Amino acid sequence: MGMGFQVSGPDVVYESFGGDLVVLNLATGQYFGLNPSGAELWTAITEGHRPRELGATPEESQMAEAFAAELQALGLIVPSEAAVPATRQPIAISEPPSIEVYDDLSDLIVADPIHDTDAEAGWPKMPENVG
Amino acid sequence: MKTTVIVPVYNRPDTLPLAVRSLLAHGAAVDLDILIVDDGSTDETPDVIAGLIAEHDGIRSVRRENGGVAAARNTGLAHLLPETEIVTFLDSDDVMAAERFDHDLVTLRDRPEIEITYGDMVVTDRIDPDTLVPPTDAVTRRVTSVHLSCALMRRGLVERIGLFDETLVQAEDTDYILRVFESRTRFVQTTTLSHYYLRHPGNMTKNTDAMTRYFARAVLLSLQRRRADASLVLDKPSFAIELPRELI
Repeated sequence: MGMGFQVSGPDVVYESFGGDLVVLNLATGQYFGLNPSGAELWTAITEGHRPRELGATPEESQMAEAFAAELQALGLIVPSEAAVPATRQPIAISEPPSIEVYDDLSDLIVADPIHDTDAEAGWPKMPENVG
Repeated sequence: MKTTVIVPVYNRPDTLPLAVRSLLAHGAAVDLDILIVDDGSTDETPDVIAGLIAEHDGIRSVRRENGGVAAARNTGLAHLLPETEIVTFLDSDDVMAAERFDHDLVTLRDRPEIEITYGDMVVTDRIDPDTLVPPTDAVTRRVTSVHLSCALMRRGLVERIGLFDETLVQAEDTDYILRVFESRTRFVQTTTLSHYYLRHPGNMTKNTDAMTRYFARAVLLSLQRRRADASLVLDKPSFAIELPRELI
């Protein structure tokens, strides 16, 4: 049945917007740009779904497995012993998933950004849960 | 060179006078226009602003409905003077350094091709309200970080870059600075100490997740812009932002 995965640790964070997804490795300073197919697969894989079961067709599932192997090789996900979540709808992969690696912001990413927030003290330290 | 310093404020009656005093300390050496943007403060901040304007020349203010720091900065950008040539920002709980304008304004005056200077800052856990510098026993670290006060920007650059993204609850300054440095902006990284950034210990842990998420959003937006327009190339100052544990 193949294995499931999880995000490799707290230094790996991600954010999606407009169909794209970026993954930051706060330890190495690298960041990774995923296209919409890659973003959809990332979401399913990091939820614990087995890549082999994600595609709508055998070819798509093979693509998902290969993409998971690439994510694992980049250190972004690790095998997980956690229970696989309930079955989800297969993903129709309209374009091959891709992941681009960047290190041109590593001096910013490798350390935490310094801006803090404080609901009591007003902003520019913005209060939490605003907006 | 008329230099407008936009000081957005929301409910900071205690620290705003210090921030403004750190600007006034530059005296006649700099042609300053201090623009306080009151983002709908609900406490005595409006009275404090009125008092500052009554006591000192070169200060003006605009009040708006509360909309957050990005919106307040945009209000400031919409109220530049016709003669404003240089723009920068100062947060209402930070303090501008004494040497902030000396060298960087000269650079902008003597090198018309330069659109922005970018300097350093000191992160500290305390600022002496009398001397406007950290006391000798304060925890401090000098860093090159993402902060708008580190930048002196030519008006033409500000108009080219456009407004702050008001959908970003945090990291709107990171987004703005990335937009500056991915658009072939001609910049000089300087060793000028721009300002003292007052750190509030204990705030980081509870907000780390949201902060990191919005930081990642800013990185993603930059990536999307560069994907969509191959003419955009990231060319930025060298940052060095690691802080000692006492300041995290």
